[in-house]
Amino acid sequence: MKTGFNFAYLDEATKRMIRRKILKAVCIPGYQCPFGGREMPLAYGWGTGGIQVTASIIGKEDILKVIDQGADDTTNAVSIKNFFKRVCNIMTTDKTAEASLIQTRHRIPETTLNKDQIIVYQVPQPEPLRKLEPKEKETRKLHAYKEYALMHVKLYEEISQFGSVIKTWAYPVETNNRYITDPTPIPKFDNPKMNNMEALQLFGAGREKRIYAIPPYTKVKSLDFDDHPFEIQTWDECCSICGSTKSYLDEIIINNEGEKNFICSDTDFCNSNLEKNK
Amino acid sequence: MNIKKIMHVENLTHFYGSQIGCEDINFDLYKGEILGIVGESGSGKSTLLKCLSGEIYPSSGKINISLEQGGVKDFLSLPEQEKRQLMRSMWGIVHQNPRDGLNLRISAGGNIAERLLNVSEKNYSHLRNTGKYWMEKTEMDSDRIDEFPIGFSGGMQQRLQISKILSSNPQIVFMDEPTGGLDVSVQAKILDTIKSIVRDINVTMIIVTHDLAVVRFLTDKLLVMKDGIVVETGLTDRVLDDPQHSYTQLLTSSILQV
Amino acid sequence: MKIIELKNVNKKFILHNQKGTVLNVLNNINLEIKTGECIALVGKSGIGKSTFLKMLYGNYLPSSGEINIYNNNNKINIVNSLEHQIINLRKYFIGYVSQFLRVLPRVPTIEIVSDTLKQQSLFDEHSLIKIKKLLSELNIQESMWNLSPLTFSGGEQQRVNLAKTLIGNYSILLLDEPTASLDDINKSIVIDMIKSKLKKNVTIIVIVHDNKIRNEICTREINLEKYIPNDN
Repeated sequence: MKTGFNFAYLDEATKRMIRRKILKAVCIPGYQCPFGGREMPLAYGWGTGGIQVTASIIGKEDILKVIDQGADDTTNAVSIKNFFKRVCNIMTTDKTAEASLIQTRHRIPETTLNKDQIIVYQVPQPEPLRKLEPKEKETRKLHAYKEYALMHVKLYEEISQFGSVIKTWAYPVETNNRYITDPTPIPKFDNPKMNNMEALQLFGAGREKRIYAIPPYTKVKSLDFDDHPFEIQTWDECCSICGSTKSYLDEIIINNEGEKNFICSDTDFCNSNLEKNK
Repeated sequence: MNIKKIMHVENLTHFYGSQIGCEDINFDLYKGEILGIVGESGSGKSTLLKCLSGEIYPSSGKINISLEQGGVKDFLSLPEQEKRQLMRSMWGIVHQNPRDGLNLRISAGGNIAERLLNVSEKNYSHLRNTGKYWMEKTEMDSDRIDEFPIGFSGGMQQRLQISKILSSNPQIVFMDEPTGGLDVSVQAKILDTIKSIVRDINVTMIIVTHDLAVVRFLTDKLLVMKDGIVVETGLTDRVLDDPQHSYTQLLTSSILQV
Repeated sequence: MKIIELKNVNKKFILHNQKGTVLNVLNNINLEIKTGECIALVGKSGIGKSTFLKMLYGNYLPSSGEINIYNNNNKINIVNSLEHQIINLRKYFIGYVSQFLRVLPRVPTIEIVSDTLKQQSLFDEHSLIKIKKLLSELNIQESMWNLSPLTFSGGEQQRVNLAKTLIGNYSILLLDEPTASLDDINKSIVIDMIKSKLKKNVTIIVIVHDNKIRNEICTREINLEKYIPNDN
């Protein structure tokens, strides 16, 4: 560990402040708690909220996994992993099952998380109603009074224009029958994983300075209509590397003729699936 | 025959600083009644409407309301949440400018759906059918349900606003100069629409206007306001045909006979 | 059984905007009208016959006094009762045929007439036949039924006005010159209709200038001359 830094980069007072906010967020599932976000050695939009949450809860025994769009080996994931290696001197891993703390951007791992794990989401825009109601004062009232008609109007509009809800990512959910929550830009494929998850889910938005949480075993319901129930994406193809038909697939154009391939977005899942099938 | 009193207003007064908005207003509103509030600009009729609909909190006075379920309530002491909920479902305001009452970024059907979703209706096809029903009821082409109100004419926007409000089957509808910004022929058609709806469903309304033709056409009883106070009140045709107060006499004699 | 009762009724008009001119019109009216009577209001033009009828209908406000309407055992003083009570009375109990037709523009004749029944909750599958029969009896051509009566001739408007009220099931009818602009044939048709209403024990108060008609239908005359204030 480099000297000149406190453990996990943030000073202890800041960590305590953030932990208090996290506790509040856990107590009110889905409620966005404002917090005193700090400048991090990272540009806004690259996970400043996520790493502040991670830095506040990480311990010396933790094993950290960081993914970006499901992959462990992309720039953002590798940089954040290296950052924590330097400032905490902790172990990191690519294996979902081995990790005690997982920071993620835009995916939930395919491997089911367990009660000893915590998943931290990087959040670009914590307010699900932002595009529907520009005034912050008003959105807070809408949350406070549980006036969520607008959110359903958005879904109504999509069904009336396209025949079904076309929103495929950041699909709004209702947490614990109360707050409408933005699940961050994960594909709606991952939404069902949030429901009743054994692991604690924490969400950090650095630019907007908000923290929210979904405690373990909490009901998370994707919004829908009685006669247009929520559905997740499906593919006719399977992963061209491991052959999985159950995972979230990325579409990749492989040549100038426009031929395409589908591969797992979760690299750890893909590798272990390949191993298993050998 | 016992008709239910749904609003009781007592000594309602509102000051803007030292300036009188409206003073000592008293009236009762019974179920199914259509009340007109008339007066010139600055007479306090809009202030009164804002007090009644919870938009401003009056300086003094009392408003008792009787809700469909659960007895008489003191409207002014209701928590903000309940007032908002009331305005979103059991009550409704038709604004003079339809843009104040509509969300122009969402389709006609979406606007109506928003109101219904407030009363936790979560069935898409039902939302759709109710939307179409009310568009037809207000004499709009229900095929335009997916169009955006920004592309509608002023009259059509006003119709849409009315269908949006009525779709939740409200207990009281407030109308603020519902035909204010429209040209005469469109005005006439919208008044026809409102009238025919009023004949069909038993809706209670408070209409604020300066147009005596509108009140004669639509309302049962009248408050005539001047300088913040009510100068005359009574059955609409009585007030207009046999006005007692000098201001009402001036008002009724000012109409040009065409 | 009395159905209408006037006690110390006075009516004056104060014209505030015309130098506060006071027109004292009717003074100290005390009278009773019994169920089934047909009263003719008489007196010279301008004496206040229409004003009298309008006061009974709640359209004009007496300056003082009581006007009580008895509906079974209910007494309603229309001078001080609530608006919805008067509206209710007008819906079910008192019908008024004004001198001139006053209806909403753009509403077809047939709808104007059926509205009365709808208001009284009497509209059913037989109603349209009844309405069409009445309109034909009043010699209003079928081609005009779906037009607004506002473009009709004076006599036709008068007959639509009558049809609108006569179709209903009222206990009191106030008729302000119902036959004024009608030709002889239509006059006798209307008189027959009034007579059949009387047979049903409807109380009628009518302003009619034609002595012959008055003698034919009315049971009593009320001369308003005796209510002219002394100072006029």
